[in-house]
Amino acid sequence: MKPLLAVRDLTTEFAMPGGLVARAVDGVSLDLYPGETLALVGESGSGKTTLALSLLRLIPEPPGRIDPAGRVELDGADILRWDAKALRRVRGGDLAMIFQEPGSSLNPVMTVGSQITETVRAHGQPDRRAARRRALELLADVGISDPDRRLGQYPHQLSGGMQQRVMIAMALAGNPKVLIADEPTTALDVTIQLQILDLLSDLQRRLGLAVLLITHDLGLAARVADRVAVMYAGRIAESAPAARLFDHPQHPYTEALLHAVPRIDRDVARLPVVPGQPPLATQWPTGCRFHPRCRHAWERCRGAEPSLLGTDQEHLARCWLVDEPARRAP
Amino acid sequence: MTTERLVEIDALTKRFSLPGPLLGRRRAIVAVDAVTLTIARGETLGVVGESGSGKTTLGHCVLRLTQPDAGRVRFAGVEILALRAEGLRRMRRRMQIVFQDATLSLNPRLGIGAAIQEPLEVHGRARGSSARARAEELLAEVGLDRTLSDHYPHQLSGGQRQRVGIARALSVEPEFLVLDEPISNLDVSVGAQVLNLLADLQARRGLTYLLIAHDLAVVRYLADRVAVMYLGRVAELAPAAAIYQQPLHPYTASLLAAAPVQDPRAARPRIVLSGEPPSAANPPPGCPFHPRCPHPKKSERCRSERPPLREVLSGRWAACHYAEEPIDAGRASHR
Repeated sequence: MKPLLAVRDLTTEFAMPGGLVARAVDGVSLDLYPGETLALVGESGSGKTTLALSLLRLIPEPPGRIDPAGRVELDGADILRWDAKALRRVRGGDLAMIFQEPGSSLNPVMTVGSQITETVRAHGQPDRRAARRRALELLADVGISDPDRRLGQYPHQLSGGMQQRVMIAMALAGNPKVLIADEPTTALDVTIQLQILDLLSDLQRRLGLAVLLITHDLGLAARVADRVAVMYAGRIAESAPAARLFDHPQHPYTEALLHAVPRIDRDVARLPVVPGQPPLATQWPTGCRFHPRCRHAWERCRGAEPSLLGTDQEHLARCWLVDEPARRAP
Repeated sequence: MTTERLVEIDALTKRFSLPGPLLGRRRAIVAVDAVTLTIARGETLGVVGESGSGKTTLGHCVLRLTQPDAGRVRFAGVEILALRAEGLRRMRRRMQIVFQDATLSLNPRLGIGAAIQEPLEVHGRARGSSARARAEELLAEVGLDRTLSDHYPHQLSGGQRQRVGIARALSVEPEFLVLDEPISNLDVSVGAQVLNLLADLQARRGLTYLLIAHDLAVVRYLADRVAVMYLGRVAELAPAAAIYQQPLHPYTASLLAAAPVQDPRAARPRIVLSGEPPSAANPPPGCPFHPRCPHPKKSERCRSERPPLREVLSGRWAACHYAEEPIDAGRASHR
C-alpha cells in the first residue's frame, strides 16, 4: 500500500537570539497510510508540534525555516513546493488540523454557525443556504445535539468538550483525507476526553480518515494508535506497531518513558526515572542525542549517532543496542 | 503511621456568587458542599475529581487561603477558622501549599535563593547568612544544585521551578502540605522525578499530604486513601488499594474506566459516560450524578433523594443508594 502522506527528511529550524539556531525537527521521515492512526509521542521540546505545523507549512518564516531539501508528499505531490494558493486549498481541505485549546482557535465574536459555514463556503460550497445545511449535518456528525440552537451560540457558551467537537466539525468541512490532531484532549477532563477519542475513531472508520495524533500521553497512544513513533530531540527515536512498541520497546528512551508514568492499573513501589532533562534544540548532544541520560551508553554512543536500525522494517529504533544487544545493561 | 488526626475537616462549605444574566439575580455556586474528611499524621489523602468538582477550593479552604462559609477545620486540634491574623500566621508555618504552576507563585524579580529565604524571614526562622545557608541546604534537599541560588525563575526549567516551590514550602518546616496538581504541568520524565521527591520528603520528614489531582494514576502512586469528588461533594472515600480494585461508586468506576492505560490490549471501556458534568450553579436534584450514571439499578429514588455518604464496607464510604450492587463499568476494576 502506498502512503497517503510521506514525509522525507523534514528539517525545521528557528533563528534564535544571539545567532543561535534551534533545529527543532531534524531530518524526520515518516509515512501515514490511509485509514490508520499514527501516534507521534514526545515530551515538550521533542519537536512533535513543530513537525505537525511544518506539514501544513504553518511555521512563521522567519524566524522559522523549513529546509527545502525535505519533502512532504500528499498523494505524491510535494506540499513544500506549493504556492500560497495551493496551500490554502490543502489546509482544511485534504489536510485538516485540530489543536489542544479549541477555545483559542475559535473566534470569540463570531457565532459557531458563521464560523462553520464560512469554512464550508471556503471549501467549495458558495451557496449560503446549502452551506448552512452542511454545517448542521457536520454538527450532527460530531455528536452535537440540538445543532440548530448551537449554530446561533458563541464559543464561550460552549464547554471545552463541545468546543472541540465544533473544531472537529470545521476540520471535516473540507472533506479531509488526513486529520492532524495536536493534543486534542489534553485540556479536557478524563470522561470528556474519552468521548472525543471515541468520536475521532468513529469518524475515522466512517470516513476512512488517516489520523496523525500528536500527544505526550502514552496511555492515549495505546488506546487509539495503530502505530507509534516516539520523538526525542528533534528525531524519531523509535517507531513500531503499537503492541510491539509497548511490549518490546527497543530504545532506552521509550522504555524509560513507559516506566516513568504512574500506573492506574497496578501498584508501583517506585518510579524508575531518567536522570536529567531533555536537551535544548540549540544544543543537541553529539553522538546519540539520548546518551547523556542513557544507562546503557558506551563509547560508540558518545562518538556516533545511530540511524534508525531494526531487524525488520516495521520496528525501528535509533539505538546502537539494536546492533549490539549484548550491551544492554540488566 | 500513628492514628493521630492531624487535619479534621467537618462539614466544610464554600459558596461563590456569580453574576447572573443581565439585570438578573446573581447565581450561587456551592463549590464545596458540606465535606467531612480527616487526615492522619503521616498519611497522604488524595482528592481526585474533574474540573469544577471543588477539589482545589477544598484545599484552599483547609489552609484558609479561601475563607469557607460554613463548617470547621481543625489542625492538630486548633480551630483554624476561628484564628485571628496573628494566630493564623503562626499556624501557616505548620501548613503549606505547593501550587500547580510554580511560575505563578515565584516573584520573577527575586532570585531563587532569596525566594526560599523569604518565608524563613517572614516566620522569623532565620536571617541573613544563616537564612542563605539554609536556603542552599533546601535546594540540595530537593535535588537542585546550590549554584542555582543566584538564578531567576525564568532561567529554570518547569521541573526545577516546581522543586523550588517545594523547597520554599519546606523552608518553614511544616508538618502538612497541600499539593495542588503538583506535576500536571510537567513532562513525563520530569514529573516522575518530582513524584519520587515528594515520596522521599514524606518518608524523611514524616510529612502529611493532601494531594489534589485530576490524574488517578498519580494519586494511586502517592496516596494512602482517596476521596473522589463530584460537584462539590465526596462521592467515594476509601483506602487506595480498595478504590482502584473495586470502586463502590459508579462515578469512580466511570473515571477509572475512562483513564487511559498504557496497554494497547487493555479492553476498551464498555461504558462511556455521556454528557458533561452539570453546572454547580444548577445541580440536579437527588443524586448529583444521576443524569450521567451508568448504574444498572438507577431508579426514581436517585432522581429525588440525595444519597448520603455512608460506610458501605469497613473504611469504605460511598454516596450511592446502590453501592452494594455490582456496577459493571467495563474495565472499571484495575488489578
